[in-house]
Amino acid sequence: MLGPAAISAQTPEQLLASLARPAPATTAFVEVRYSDLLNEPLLSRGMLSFDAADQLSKRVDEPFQEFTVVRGEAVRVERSGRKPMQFSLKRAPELRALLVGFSALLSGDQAALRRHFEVAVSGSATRWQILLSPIDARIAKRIRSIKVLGADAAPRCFLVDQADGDSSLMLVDAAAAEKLPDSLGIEPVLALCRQEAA
Amino acid sequence: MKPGRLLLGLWLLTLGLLAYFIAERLQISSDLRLFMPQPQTAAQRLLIDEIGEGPGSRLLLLAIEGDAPEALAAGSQALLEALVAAPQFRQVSNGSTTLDAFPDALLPYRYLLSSSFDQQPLDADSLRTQLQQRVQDLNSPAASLLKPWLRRDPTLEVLQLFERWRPEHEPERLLDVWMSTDQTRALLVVETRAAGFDPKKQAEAITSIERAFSESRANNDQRLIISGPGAFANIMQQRTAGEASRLGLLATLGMVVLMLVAYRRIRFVLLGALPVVSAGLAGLAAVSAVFGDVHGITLAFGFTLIGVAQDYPIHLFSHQHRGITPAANARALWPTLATGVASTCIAYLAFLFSGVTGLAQLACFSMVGVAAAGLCTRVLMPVLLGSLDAGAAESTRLASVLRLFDRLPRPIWMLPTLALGSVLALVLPSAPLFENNLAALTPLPADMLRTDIELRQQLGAPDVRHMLILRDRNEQELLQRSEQLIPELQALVDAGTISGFDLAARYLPSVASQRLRQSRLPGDASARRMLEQATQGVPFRPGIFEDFLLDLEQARTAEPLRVADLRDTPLALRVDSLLRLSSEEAIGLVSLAGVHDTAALGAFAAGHPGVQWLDLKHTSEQLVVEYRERILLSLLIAAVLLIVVIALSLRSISRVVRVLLPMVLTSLLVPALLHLMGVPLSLFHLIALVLAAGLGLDYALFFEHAESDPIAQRRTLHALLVCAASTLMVFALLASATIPVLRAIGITVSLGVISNFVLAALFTRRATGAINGA
Repeated sequence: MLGPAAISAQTPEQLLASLARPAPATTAFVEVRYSDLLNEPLLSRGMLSFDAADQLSKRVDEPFQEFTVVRGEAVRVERSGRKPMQFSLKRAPELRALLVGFSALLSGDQAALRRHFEVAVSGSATRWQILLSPIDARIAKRIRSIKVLGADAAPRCFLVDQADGDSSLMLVDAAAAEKLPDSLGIEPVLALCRQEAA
Repeated sequence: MKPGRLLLGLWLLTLGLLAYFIAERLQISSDLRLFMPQPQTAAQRLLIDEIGEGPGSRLLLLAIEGDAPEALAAGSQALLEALVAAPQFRQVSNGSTTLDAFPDALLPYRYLLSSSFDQQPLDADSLRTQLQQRVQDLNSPAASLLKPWLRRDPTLEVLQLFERWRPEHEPERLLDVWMSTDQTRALLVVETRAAGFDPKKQAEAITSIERAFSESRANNDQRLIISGPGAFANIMQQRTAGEASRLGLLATLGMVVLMLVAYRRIRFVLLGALPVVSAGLAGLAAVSAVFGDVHGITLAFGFTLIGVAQDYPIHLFSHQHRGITPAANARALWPTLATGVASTCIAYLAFLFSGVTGLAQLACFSMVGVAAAGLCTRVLMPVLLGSLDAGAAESTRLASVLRLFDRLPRPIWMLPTLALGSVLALVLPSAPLFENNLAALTPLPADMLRTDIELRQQLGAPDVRHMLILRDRNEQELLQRSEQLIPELQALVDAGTISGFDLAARYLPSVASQRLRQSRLPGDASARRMLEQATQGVPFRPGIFEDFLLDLEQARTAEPLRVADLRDTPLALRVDSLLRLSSEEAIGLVSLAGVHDTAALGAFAAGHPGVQWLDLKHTSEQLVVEYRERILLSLLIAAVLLIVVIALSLRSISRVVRVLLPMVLTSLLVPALLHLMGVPLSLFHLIALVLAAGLGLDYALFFEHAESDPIAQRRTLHALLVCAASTLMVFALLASATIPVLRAIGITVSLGVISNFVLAALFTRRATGAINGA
């Protein structure tokens, strides 16, 4: 862990390099989803695994059970009591953006990250924020940006802002274990990500 | 003006007029049905229709290969996007049907097409269950796919329909697109607007596919395969045209050289071409006047068959010498020549009444052509020859050839031995004697057919052999009966008789069913109440489902869908291929997959009046057998007529026997040889045999006619050597063709020419010095 002295000395490259985690990596997550179709945020919990460079799986345990595997270009969603659904990443650009961002971050592949996103880093070494804006027009049509909020050498939250106004905020690692604010509005939850008192 | 000039002028004028008439009228068709027998039964009619105009004939199967699976999938998608906008196609699919493919105007009808609410009507409870699942969907990675639909279609009825309509035996998908099981080919299907046998439009469609592919492909290693009836017609036309013109050029060059060697004057070469040219133009004009359309095969074969007319001027030239005027020469040869022309015409008469349009065209072409060539030789040639003298018989080499022929042994015992041997070989059960496969009638190379079969299997096309046929008076009665059959067919699947089935009612329910579903949909006010109840306790914002309510109301009050309403929708492709509607009756096809128990299937069909079990393989084989029987019968009648004509002309049994012997023996010997070579005899071999028989008859007639005078004998021998050599050269060239049909004809006629010439020279011709006719 970097000491306060390193704050000003850290470059975006150093920060990104410090985030790399070799696969397989697993973390619990809490996801809060905001949609204009819904009158309250949706909350779900589960496990997220980065199994290999091209494979990511997401298991939802609450409030329902669902298992998603993204392998290469193919996505498979299984939910108890329903036929598994399969589609390609091409049809779900936001998922692709998330996946590319995730795996580039975790594998420390900065070149890949910069190929797909404009990367802007702000904040300090202890509380930083990486803003990823998609370069591919097709992805940009669906996703405005992905924000990774973190502290020290670990991300805490991923905020995906969709072009249609919906967004999803995913808390990982330590943040996933912390107590959620009483109100699930986006600002209180973001405050938790930034480790600010709500 | 000399009479010769005048006559030539008139003749050329006539040819010019014929050429003009042909250029104005000639329509070349490539509809293979012209070369298929007239269907006799309903099942046969269906089969022939299917080949000709059915939606199946409009389908082109595409495959992209030569790259990694992911790249192939991307290529498939790129090609699809490039083709969707092209005007030549009604449908383009690569498996990546998305919900957007459903036309907007039909969307409200989902509640009439779907059986989702047949058991449990759409009410507040069932809607709430659905809405709760939609909340989960919004929280899943699939959210972005489904979200655009939720306001309008909260029960995801469109998705349900797509799932239900998915064919039972669909190809595997990789990254949303169809892919062969071994992942080496990305598969696509396009339906052209043009009919399968509209070669011009098909060629345009294929060109636009090829252009789209070369523009859209990511790298040059990717290859595109195009298969299907339209592609075949196109490739065959190109290949036949290319090969025919190459062989035609070679044959022409060969003929010029041969004529120069034989007659040593360029004028003979030019004059010798006149009867064949006249034959071609007259034949073509006659066919286009009588039939309108001329099939490409008629054209290709017709010009081959009238090659016999090339022999007519040769006889005249070889017999021309200083001691006789051309007119007297022509008059002297005419009885023999006329017998040859008449017998050739009679042989083709068999095809005129074969009941196959293409063959009738071929017969008309050949008969008119051969008659015109005969007339040209008799009337025009003598006038044009003037004082030209070939001096053909003066060659000393020819004299020694003649002596050689005289010395050759004539083993009479050989004749019964050859005949008996041939018959034995023919009845030998070593290989099938006849080709019963209807596909073999189409002049397609085997590797193209093999690729087509492979692609069809990979695309999971249904069993092409077995299907059930339903008949009813009209569309609606047929659809109602189909709906009643669905549970029974499902029972057959459960019992393991078949592994799957498909029929039009799966996609389009009858109007009665749609009306029943309409009556169970909630009306405007109660739909709103139902929605209010259903959304209670579900976190959807109020008021977002207005489009759903609109669609429900439209579904409830709309006029039910009929077949005609589906035009240009993804559904039409499926429904059209399973229905044949006419003003008198409606025919529905039940395509079957994986037929395991034909006996049970037969029993099922027998137990349901109006349901017929069709075995397409059996039907097509039966068709070919009947076809061949009809042709063989025609040939038999022609043979009898021929004997009568020859007998009337020669008036002596021994002469008739001598003349007919080579032809009859050759007609046994050549099929026997082909059979021993393992070649199943097809229609094209039969046509070639008739041609060989006509040639053989000519050889025998002239050999028989020859006088005992050694000089006269030399002239006859000269003529026949030139005839046989030129014919053999042309057909040996054909035998080198890559197109199986041309090769079949080439080999058959070449063998026939050799056998006929040798037999006629040995057994019809009498040795020099023997007294003619005594």
